[in-house]
Amino acid sequence: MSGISSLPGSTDKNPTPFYPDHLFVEGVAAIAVFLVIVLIAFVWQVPLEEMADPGDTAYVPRPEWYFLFYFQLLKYFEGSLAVVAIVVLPALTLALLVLLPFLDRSAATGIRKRPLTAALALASVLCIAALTALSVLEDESHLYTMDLPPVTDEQIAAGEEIFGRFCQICHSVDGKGGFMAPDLTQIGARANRAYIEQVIIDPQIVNQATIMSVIPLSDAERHEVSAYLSRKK
Amino acid sequence: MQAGQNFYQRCADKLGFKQLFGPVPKWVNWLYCFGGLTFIVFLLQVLSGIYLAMFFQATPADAWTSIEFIEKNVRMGGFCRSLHRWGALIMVLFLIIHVLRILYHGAYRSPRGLNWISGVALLLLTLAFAATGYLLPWDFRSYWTVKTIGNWLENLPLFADALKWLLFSDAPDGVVPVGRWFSIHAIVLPALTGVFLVGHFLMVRRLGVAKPM
Repeated sequence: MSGISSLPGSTDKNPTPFYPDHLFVEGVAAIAVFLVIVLIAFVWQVPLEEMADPGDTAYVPRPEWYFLFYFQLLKYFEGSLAVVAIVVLPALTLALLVLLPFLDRSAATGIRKRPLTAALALASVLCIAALTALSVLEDESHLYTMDLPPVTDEQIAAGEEIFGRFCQICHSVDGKGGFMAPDLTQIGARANRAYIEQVIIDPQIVNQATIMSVIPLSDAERHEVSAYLSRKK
Repeated sequence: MQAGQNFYQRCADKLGFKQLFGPVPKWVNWLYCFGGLTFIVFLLQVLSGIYLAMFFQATPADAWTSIEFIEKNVRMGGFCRSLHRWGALIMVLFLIIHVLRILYHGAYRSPRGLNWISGVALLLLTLAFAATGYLLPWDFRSYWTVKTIGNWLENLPLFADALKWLLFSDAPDGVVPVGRWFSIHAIVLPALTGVFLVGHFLMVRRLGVAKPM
């Protein structure tokens, strides 16, 4: 017996026929998965983000969930140690995966009879899960926070006027303004209000490479501009 | 039912896949479905990918606009793009469950070692699909992801320049050859995946699946 079966010589004396029994189970599972994916794709359409803008450094790229652990790992190895996370650890992991059949040659079937392999696999899974969780938690805490007055319609209107006077020379919104700095038409979708406040207070704190200068605004004016921009989504 | 079985037997005899679809042990349960389900989702990805590729323009100047065109003007374009994106996430999820099941059952051990290695190759190819597909819409996320990858490559002690040339070509700073990444995503990776999948399935046919604990 071969195919989706136990090894030749096994003691399996009462197998299930592939057709129709097993094919039915596989077919039902495949159709169910197909329908679930179609349903998800209909309900949660993937939005298209704005076109890439090399000048806008406010954006913080996030990988997909399955790369989050690696993204987090890279944070612990900076400078000359970066090579450890970029080359050494992936190479070791790959080598371990490829060599696994040669390292674990036991004939034992129970996972308790394979303690070393089981411990290694469990430790790897836990490490990946912990790094992924840390990445998610740090993402949330990394968001700029600040005690800011609530946004009012008057503030938004005043902020638009101040933005027109001070910022629109370089930045554009809704197609109006300068082109020397990034378009801020949808800045509210990428940055929260506290982040915008921080950029206005001292742009270099957020991005050392920026050529944007400090805008001489009062606290009230700055709150109004950030209120206006944070609503641009 | 009998007519169906006869038809199946005739096809199996003619096409030589009788052994592939041989009897299945009683203990094979739903956990064993995830390898096959990953393949089903992969087929879904191929079909939706072909449809998207018909309208996609693989240049930095046109990539984002063509995706916007697909979303707004192509029949079922937005749905197809969502299907491709969600399919990718679910494919990785199923693959991880499949790998964990193999580890739990110790199915990587001899005589299935080579099949395990072909599975590792398929895992890497899937992740490569994900990484290259990430860039193609040429939106904010694509651009900054590419920049991040470029920064990582700077830290490599060897082959940094060669890898940067391979991935970023001789394009001027800030311009990434979307066409190159698209050709890897849509031609090189599917071809390699096809080869490894055939090997993987043939070995499953020869060696069967491991018995549970």
